Parts: sequence; structure tokens; C-alpha cells
Amino acid sequence: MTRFTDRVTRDLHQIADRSTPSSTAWDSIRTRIDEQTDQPPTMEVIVLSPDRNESPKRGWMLAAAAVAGLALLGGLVFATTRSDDDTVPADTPTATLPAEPAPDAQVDSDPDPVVAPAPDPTTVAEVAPEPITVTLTGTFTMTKEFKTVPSRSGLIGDQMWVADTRFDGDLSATAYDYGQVWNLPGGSSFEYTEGDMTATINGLGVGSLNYRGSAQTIDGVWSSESVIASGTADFEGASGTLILRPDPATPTDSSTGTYEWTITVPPKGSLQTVTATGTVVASDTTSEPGDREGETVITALHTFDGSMVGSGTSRATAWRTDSSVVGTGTVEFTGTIDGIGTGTMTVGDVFSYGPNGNVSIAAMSGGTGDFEGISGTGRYVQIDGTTWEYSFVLAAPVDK
Amino acid sequence: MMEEVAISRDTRKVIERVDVLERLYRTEYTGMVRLAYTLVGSNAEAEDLVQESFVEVARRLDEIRKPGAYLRSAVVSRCRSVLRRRRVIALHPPEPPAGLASDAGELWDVLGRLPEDQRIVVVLRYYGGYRASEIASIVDMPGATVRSHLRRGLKALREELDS
Repeated sequence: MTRFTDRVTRDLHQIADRSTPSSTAWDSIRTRIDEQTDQPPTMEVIVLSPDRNESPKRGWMLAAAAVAGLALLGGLVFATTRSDDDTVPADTPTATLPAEPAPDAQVDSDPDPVVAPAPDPTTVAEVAPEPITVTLTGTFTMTKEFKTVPSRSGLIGDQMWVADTRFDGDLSATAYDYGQVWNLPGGSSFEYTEGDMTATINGLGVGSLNYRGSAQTIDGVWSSESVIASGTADFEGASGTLILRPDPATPTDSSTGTYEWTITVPPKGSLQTVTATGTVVASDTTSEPGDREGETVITALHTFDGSMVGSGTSRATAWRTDSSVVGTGTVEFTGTIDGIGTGTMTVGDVFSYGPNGNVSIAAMSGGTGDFEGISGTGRYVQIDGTTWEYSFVLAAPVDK
Repeated sequence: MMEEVAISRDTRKVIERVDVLERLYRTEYTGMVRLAYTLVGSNAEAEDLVQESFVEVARRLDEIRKPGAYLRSAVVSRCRSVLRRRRVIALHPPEPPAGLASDAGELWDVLGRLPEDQRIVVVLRYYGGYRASEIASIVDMPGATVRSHLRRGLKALREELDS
């Protein structure tokens, strides 16, 4: 300890001592626990077939992977190989998300679905070993503002937006979104969003959801589609889609409208969750102009070490904006993951290389071998020119 | 003559769960509220999120091997959410507590301007007394990232407080 850190410690204790924990907190906690236990489920659920090959989860995770490809090297390589013409065609952003939700995300994969009363959220795993899917509808109110602030992942764009959204109807939820507006040359705009939500969903329980997706403004009317990337508590292993349809008459920064969610939650206890950390090194890098004007395609071999040991070829597509290089890509990883096993899976990411750091936000989907049905999210943070630190949270089915 | 009282297995399980929670409450509650308060700066908010974390522990007690460690992670995670929301919605830290010594008040101001991850890591290290490896586990970050946040956080504090 130095004199300075001694001072920090002393002052922090002075601050902490100003708190006044309630003497009746235990009673409050007991009441809260009792309230949760007594909460009656009121919604109908559709019990799905356990057929993983057609599950909405897999379909959407694959869609997400297609949306968010991996390309760690994109920015740096692009920066050294860019052509003088940086224009991006107006239709480029539309490649980032499917225009319509995948059909299998909306319906049961079981040809003869069983409509059953909602199980008690606390005993879902005992009564229904299959995944549970619910479709939720209602209204939302969103307050949205634009600021220049750093996002959670450290990205800074020309403009950031944040949105505070309240949901009513089949669920009770509050969500906070973070986004980055990438004003690409050519007149189109693409917003990459990442959001967190705390929700209570009848029949499923309580927890938080992390989601990612895009919102686009066309002719002054915006709409958004997001894919659930991960969940906690009762929503661990959740997947699905969140669609917002605002009333065109309401302004962008203060919208109301309707929502439609489809959310699938695996049976509790069927997933094992691991946190994988380590480094990934890129080598054998090549780059060439893409099919579209202003586009660069980069390929490289990515070698993983740490919790994940293995490698895969990555393919990335990058574009230059006024202040950053942005893009998407995928890597097909083959190897082992501590706590899960051996197999192949797709790791995708959306990246931004800008004046405030080079960060990628990743999504994983399975897969073969022990990675069949795997899903996850995470981040890459660049350490040096060819090395990144990864931190992924992965959920894999226990009983494949 | 002794009376034999039969306790069902379920009842025994409930009693055991309450016992575990109550012990956890006695040993951890005050410390967790103080830690949360140091991070979010509001007593009511700190108590609320710590109580929410206890409820989460109660719900998952059968799955958790180390309730204390899980509770710490849950509390810090909620603090992080509060800081994140506050940053993007209000961008203003709460007022310093009344009666704070000037040095501590100064630290409070500077701490409020740190990025949330740096703030969390600094508080866990120098208030909570956790090692970097323990913080990595609590906040679910690689150890190298924790050390980097710690280094940057301290550097920022030193620059501001020494100026």
C-alpha cells in the first residue's frame, strides 16, 4: 500500500460509514421472498417439441450469427488497405438483420403443439422437460435521447443513443438500450444496439435479458428487431425475438406502440453455463476488395488459447465511416472448451475500430459434437496488433 | 416421557434454507449495503438492490454452492446496472453525503466521474479489500481486465486528487 492508496481506503470507509442499513431489513427480505413464491401464473404456454434441429433457439442464434459475424482484424487491416473511395452503397445496412423474423421463431416446432396451463415458474423444470415458448404482446412507451457518451463496450460513435422503455401487457418490464449510430456514406444509417432488461413474465419468472439488434428509420418511421442474446435467473439460456412497432404518429424520441416478443426458455437444469476467457491470436491474414464499393474482405487464422483451445478461419467484411471502421464477420471455431467438451461452433461479432479503442461484441452458436445447441455472448478487447483478449459466457445443453 | 415430533423432509428443507439465509443475512447484509452505498451513493437504492440480491439467492439456493460469493456478485452486478442507467439517463452523480470530511468528499466527486467498471474495481479493491483474482470472480471479468481497470482508475483518481 502507498500513501495514496491508504488515503483512498480511508476515504472509502468514511463514505461507506455514511450508509444506514435498516434494522428491519430481514423482515423486508422475507416478505419479498414470500411475495415471489406466492405469485400465481396466469398465462398459457405452448410446450415445444425437444427437437433441437428445428428449435426456434437454434434458428435465431444462427440468424444472429449471420447478422453479427466475426472479424477481429477488420479495422486494422482495412486501415492499411483502404482504397480512396470509401463510399458505401445505400443498401449495405440492410444486410445486418433479417427483414422479417424467421418463421420458426414464431411457431412451435412440434407439428402437434400441446397447449397447457402455465406451470409454476418455480417448478418449470420438474413438470416440463421441454423448452417453453411464450408469445407476448402489449404496448410500450419509449423515451429516447441522443447523446455523445461511451457505450458499455467502450465504443464511441459520432452519436450515441439511449432509450428507456416501459412495457405493459403480458409482461412487466423496464429496458435500457444503448446504441451507436453509424452514419455511413450513401445516405443510410444503421444502429447497432445492445440492451438490458429486467422483466417479470407470467409463466416464466423473473430475471434479466440481454438483447441486441438494429433499428432503422425509413421515411421517418423507425422499427426495431432484436435477438435475445442471454438471460439470467429464470431466463438463463433464453432465446427469441423482440419486435417493436411504434405508432408512426409518435415522434422518434418519445414513441408509443406495440410489441411482440417470442421467448423460449430451456428447462431449468438442462444447461451448463461456463465463462471462457483467454486470448486469440490472428495470423495468415489476407485482404481484398469486396463485391460492393468501399467494402474490404479480410480472412485470417484465429488461434484460441485459455479456456478455449483451438482455431478457425475468420472472414470479415469492413467499411469505413467518418471516424471509425465498422464491420461484421464470423469464425468457425474447432477445438475444446473447458467444462463443455469438443466440437465446432460459430462465433460472430460486430466490431468498431475507432479513436477510442477497438472492441468487438460477439455471439456464439453451435455447433457439432459437444457444442450442439450451444449459445453465448461475449467480447473481444484488443491487446496488441494481432492479439485480443476474449471473455465469453456460454451455455450448452447438458443432455445432448 | 419424551414426545417424538415428526418433521417432514420438506419442512426440514425449508427450515434449513431459512437458516442458511438468515446466517447469510447476519454476516453479509450490513457489509453489502455499505459496499453498494459506496458504489451507488443512495442508501435506499443500496438497500433495495441488496435485498433484491438476497431474494435471488433464496430463489437459487439449491443451485448455489457458495451463497456468499453469489450474493456479492449479484450485488455488484445490480450496482453496475444502476450506474449504467444513471450514466446514460442522468449523467449526474448523487450529491455527496452530508458531513463528509473534505478529502472523502473530494474522492466521492472524482469516483463518480470514473467509468463504472473502474469505479467498481477500485471500490472492491480498496474498500472491500478483495484481491484482483477475487474481483475478477465477483464481476465476471478476466483478471487482466480487472488489473487494467484498477490501474486506470487509480491513475485517474491520482491525477484528479493531486491536481
